[in-house]
Amino acid sequence: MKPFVHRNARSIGEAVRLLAKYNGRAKVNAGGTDLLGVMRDRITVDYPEAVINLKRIEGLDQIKPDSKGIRIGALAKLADVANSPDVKEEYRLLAESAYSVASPHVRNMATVGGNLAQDVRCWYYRYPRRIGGPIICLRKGGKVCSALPGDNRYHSVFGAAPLRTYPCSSYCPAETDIPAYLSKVRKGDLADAARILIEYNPLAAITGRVCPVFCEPECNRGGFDEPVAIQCIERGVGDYVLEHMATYFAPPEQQTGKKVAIVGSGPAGLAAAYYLRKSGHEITVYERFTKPGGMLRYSIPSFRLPKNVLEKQIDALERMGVTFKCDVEVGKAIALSNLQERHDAVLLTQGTWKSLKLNVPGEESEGVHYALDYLAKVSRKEKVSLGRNVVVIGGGSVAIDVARTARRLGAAEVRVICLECRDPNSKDKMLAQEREIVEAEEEGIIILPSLGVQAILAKDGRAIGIETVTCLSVREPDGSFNPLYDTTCTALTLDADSIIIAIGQSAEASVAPQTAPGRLFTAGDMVSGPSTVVQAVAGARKAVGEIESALRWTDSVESLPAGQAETRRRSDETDMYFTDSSFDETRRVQGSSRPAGERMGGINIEDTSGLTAEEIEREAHRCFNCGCLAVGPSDVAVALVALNASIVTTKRRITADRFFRASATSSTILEPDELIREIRVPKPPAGARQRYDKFTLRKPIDFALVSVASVLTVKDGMCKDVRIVLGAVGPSPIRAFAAEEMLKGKPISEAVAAEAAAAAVAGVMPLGMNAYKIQIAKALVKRAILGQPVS
Amino acid sequence: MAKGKTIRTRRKALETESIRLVINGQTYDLNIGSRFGEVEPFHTLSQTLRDTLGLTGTKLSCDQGACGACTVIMDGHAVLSCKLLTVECDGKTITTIEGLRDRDTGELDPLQKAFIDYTAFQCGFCTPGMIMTARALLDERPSPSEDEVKEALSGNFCRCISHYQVIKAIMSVAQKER
Repeated sequence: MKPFVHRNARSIGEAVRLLAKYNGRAKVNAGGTDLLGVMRDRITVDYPEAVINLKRIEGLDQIKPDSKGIRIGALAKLADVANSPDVKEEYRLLAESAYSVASPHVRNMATVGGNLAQDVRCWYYRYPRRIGGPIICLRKGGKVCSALPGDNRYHSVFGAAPLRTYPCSSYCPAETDIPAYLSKVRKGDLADAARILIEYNPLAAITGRVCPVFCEPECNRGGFDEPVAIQCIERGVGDYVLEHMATYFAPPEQQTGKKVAIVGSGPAGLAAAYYLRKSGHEITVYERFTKPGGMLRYSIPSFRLPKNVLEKQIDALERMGVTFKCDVEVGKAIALSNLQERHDAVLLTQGTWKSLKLNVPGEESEGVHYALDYLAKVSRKEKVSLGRNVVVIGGGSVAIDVARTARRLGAAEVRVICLECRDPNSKDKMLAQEREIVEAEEEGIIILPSLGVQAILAKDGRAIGIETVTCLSVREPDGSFNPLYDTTCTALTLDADSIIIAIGQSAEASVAPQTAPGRLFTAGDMVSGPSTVVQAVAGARKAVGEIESALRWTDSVESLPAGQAETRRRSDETDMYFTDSSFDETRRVQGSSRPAGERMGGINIEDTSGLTAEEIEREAHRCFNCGCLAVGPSDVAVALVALNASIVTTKRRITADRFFRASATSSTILEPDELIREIRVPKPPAGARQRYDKFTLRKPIDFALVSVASVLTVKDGMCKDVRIVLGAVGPSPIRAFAAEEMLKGKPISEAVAAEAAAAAVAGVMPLGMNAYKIQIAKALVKRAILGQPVS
Repeated sequence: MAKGKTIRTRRKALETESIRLVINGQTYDLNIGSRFGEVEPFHTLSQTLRDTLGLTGTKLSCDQGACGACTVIMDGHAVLSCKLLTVECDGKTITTIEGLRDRDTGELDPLQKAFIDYTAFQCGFCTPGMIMTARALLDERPSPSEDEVKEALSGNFCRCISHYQVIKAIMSVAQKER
């Protein structure tokens, strides 16, 4: 073992103080039969700095029957529990479970508390160095549970212990609970999936098309083959939302009487309108252009985002009761102060519409356009003649959109020049997505990287080309923009009939918010600078949270979805709160792009097709639904749940079924400075049949493959009451509620027992190699009900 | 307040500087530290017995708490010396295989004799653990049934399959002590 500081605690109070002092860097040692092995084999990620000895604490090893039941101290030895006449007499199940642990020697040393709090058994977790190189499993701070695609014969058949944060969700700016809605899609329940998704992102049909997908690169499935096509699934669910807008965009049932004005109808404005309207406020959205949508309409070309999708989205909001007032420019047609007087709150989401200038000679020439103006004109179906030879300046998504639009509208030669280099892995990579760039190249657009524009060449006031220098470096190692040029010579001179500058945008200075106390809010690009639709949605939700608390209507909305997600994961039908981890070897399916030739047919043909409901369901099956598949190792735990026992800790008293709520890093809910003090077991009904049946391979070393704890009250051949709990089949003990319900009031017979056994394993999600556990569990449950011997 | 705490801390430091073990009737005062002959906080009892005290009769096989080879008797119970930190055995009375023979006459323990008489071993590596486990059982229950013997020894592994002879040997002593 590696060195550590050793401290003797004389009281449980001292132990807790020491634990708090070491703040997660100490372990307590009760019996030592589990901990010393964990430390010797360096199983845990962090080796403890200190070990706190509990063996000297007196009075915690008592076994005391009282009027309500029996109280057993955390430091009582398993041998003493197993041999105690009091326990054997009335709590036979508990005695049997304690007796089932390992060998007599271990039971002479191991304690009840230690048994309940022991670390899980899992090959990937405990022996990473012995099975072909290091495996950093999820429990060790890695990204994925190796048991999912690997050997999982000893693992859970009832799902995985959930993570606290999921990589896909945590990288999504809107923190969308991706695993949750994918679970629903997997079950074919698009309605529920839609309900979850819309909570985080009411514009899913749009982001499902145009999001630069922050989530997919982080997907743990990527380490195995390819990431889950989250965006395609999002698009499918988003389209479902719009198809069923009457359900998802229903007017609020209650009106608050509060009025909120939103200035700007881009993604931030639309998302904010949804959230605010949903909580019952009266919403008016002001838009200076003739139609709502902002950048969604006037900047993103229709081959990426068809206008009818946007129309449906706006329709949906109107259906909720959001009023859109177009052709009204706040600050001109109507004063902001006027809006503020008439509303309880005003949210500015005016975006970044001011194109950045190159500031090079010749920029004022005829034939020089700015990207947003050009795209807006195209959206309004205004004719812009560019000639046959177009040069686009810029390396971001807007530049690529402009180039592709110009190409589709007939420009024969379109070249994109940018400071950035073409290598997608460089610190100086282009900001446009790799996929967009590749598609642009397929369409015949030529990318000329690593060039900086020195001058726009003009003749008679009309642009005829550009002169460039080589760009040596674009960004500092910390990512800040600081281009370096080789100005010793001109790099490349290009002819052009027209030039489109797409080097970025900023907010228009004129809309800088006048300060008005507590009633004026901002969101979207005008706060963040040019960003993405999903970031605008996230920003809108944050602003809505601020507005709601300013209106003193509810607590912050922002914190709401995350909290609900947790409940959702936990409150499915039964008491189960595990994630349904799955592993499906099918290959990634994603919406395919039309061939380049077809794409060139015009700007109104959507490039990428969506997936069918069947396809997204299949793709959702590829989601690992990441979690830890190790099973709870404690035998006593299973018995305690069946006996309806409580666990008294240094902080609380909690029922056993709630105590063993495993997460991906712990088998119990114990906090770092919390210790088990004692267990309290209520008296089981007089005459109840109690037993603990444990199926193992080699008794002294192996842990249960399946165990069943049962308490059965039978009177005149009828089952009066019953509790059945399965062990070693899930991250924590699994109570067989369905079997219990089925049995109550029924005569005990072979057929009834078989039926209850089947009910006990209803809802199992076996992995590749552990379906055999189901058969064992059924057999054990059946024998327990019939009172038959196990072997 | 602050002063009281300092004194208490100091006292604690003094207390944990050394430990006392009574092994096979002999008292060992061992300092905690990293010098030769001292015990480190991370030493297991089996390490201390074998490496520090030279009591190599206690065997170390799996070091995982699964095989029973390292069994010693502590406070009357058969325990695994590989799963105990030596510093946590302070003040304990421990018996190892070396302590079974009669201290005055040098005569072997009846169990040891029986193991020889019944050739209850082949390679002998698991034997000290077997004998210590059996001794703890017989001390608590001088005339166990065969099932009780099997149960008590269920944590002692033998790769040479000596179990049949072991049970006979132990039962022979059990009958005598009855």
